Amino acid sequence: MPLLEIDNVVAGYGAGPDILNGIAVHIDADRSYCIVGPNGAGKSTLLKVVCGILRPRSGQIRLDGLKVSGMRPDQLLAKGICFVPQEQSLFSEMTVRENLVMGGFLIRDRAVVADRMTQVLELFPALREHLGQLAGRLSGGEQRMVALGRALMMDPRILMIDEPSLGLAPLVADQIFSTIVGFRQLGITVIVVEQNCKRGLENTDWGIVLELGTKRFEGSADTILDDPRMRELYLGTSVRRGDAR
Amino acid sequence: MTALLEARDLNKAFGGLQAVKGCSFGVEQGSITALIGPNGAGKTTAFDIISGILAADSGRVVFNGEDVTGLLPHSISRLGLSRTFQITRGLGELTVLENMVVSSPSGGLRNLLGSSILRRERDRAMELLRFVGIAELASNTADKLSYGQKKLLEFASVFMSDPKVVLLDEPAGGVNPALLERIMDRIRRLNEKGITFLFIEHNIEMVMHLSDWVVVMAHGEVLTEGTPAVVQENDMVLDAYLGRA
Repeated sequence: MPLLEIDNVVAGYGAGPDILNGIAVHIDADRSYCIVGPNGAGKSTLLKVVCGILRPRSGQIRLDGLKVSGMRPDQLLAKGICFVPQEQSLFSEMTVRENLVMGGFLIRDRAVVADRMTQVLELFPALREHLGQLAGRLSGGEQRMVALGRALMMDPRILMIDEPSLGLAPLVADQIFSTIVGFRQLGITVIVVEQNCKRGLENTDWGIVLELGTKRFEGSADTILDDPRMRELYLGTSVRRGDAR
Repeated sequence: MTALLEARDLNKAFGGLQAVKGCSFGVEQGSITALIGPNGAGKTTAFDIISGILAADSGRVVFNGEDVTGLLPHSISRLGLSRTFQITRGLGELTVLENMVVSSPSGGLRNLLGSSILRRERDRAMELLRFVGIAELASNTADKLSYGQKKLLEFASVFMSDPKVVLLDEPAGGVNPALLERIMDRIRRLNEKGITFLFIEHNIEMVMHLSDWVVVMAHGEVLTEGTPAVVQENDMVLDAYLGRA
């Protein structure tokens, strides 16, 4: 049984149009995924629906075969589904330490929180020297590390990351991705949405290509970029010379 | 053919980020020109500079043979260059008709004369609302409109100033296919009457079927330009979208 099943999900914002149009995607526990597709394909929206920020208009999402769609984000977080949004989401006026502790807000046992913090700092040793600093003062790459570290505080089963490399210098983006690749050792199923297809697919096992709110195709991550359908998706169906108007 | 609008060697940095870098391109009189490129390519920044919302660090904007660099948006608009925004910003408490009239260049004069709406402006506004198909909503307040209707209102309102060239920032963003067809049709019809269009759009099918010239930006620079068919076959363009560049 797949770890996560997304079945014919339709979703959109407010009174706006459907962004996801009956999308169906299965996620297995032992793979990492990169979701790609042109703007407006519904990549970020898919992550928001899975983590409960956005309720599906119809369709179902199941975790271990049990329905989870319709649950609140905190309920889904308790079940191990964690989301790191694209936008700045840290508490910038709080210290790095406080941000990490907040990541474990559902955990009652302080000893567990302390243990998790130690594990997170082993993964991100660079954060050790910044623990007492305000998160908003850190560099973009460091802030991304705090956001990832904070997500790990709940020891998630599924970690969904929206645009991990957004706004980062290439070298820093590579560092972030190599850390993300390491999450596999922690038994975490990673799903990233990445505008930079090449970087995202190079660092994951499986690619899922979306178009206009549905899945266009999927496959082993190293086969996606050279698939002829990518040209059509990003540059349009062929227009003959002089036939454009 | 002459360029009605020219961006000459535009540069703009935000802090350490060079958003637009030596960007030069021309928009031919009577054309429908698309400005495309991956997220973060600098398209909207280029638009903001051209329409006077942002000051470039260096470079010139020439419109209709006149150097308009550094002019304020309303001055540029008075010369015949209007634009829409990616995020629709209706004045919610005003009616649809009032929103149209506010966009008219004689707004200041009307404020002096009192609140009555000049008949000529009103007729022009109603004609445009009929043209885009929302005339029956003229007396509704704008905040009651659906997303698609707001898009149409904003689209219609840019023509109140009788522009020679219109800049559209993602006219198809978030609209359903039927509405997209309507917007494309209206752009074509206005273009046949002599209005020049420059538009940013991620809906690549719209770009390829509507425009007669495509300018591709990546990393703040113009990567290439050409007819839709030529751009579509250019591997550099695909690589830019996929992050292989």
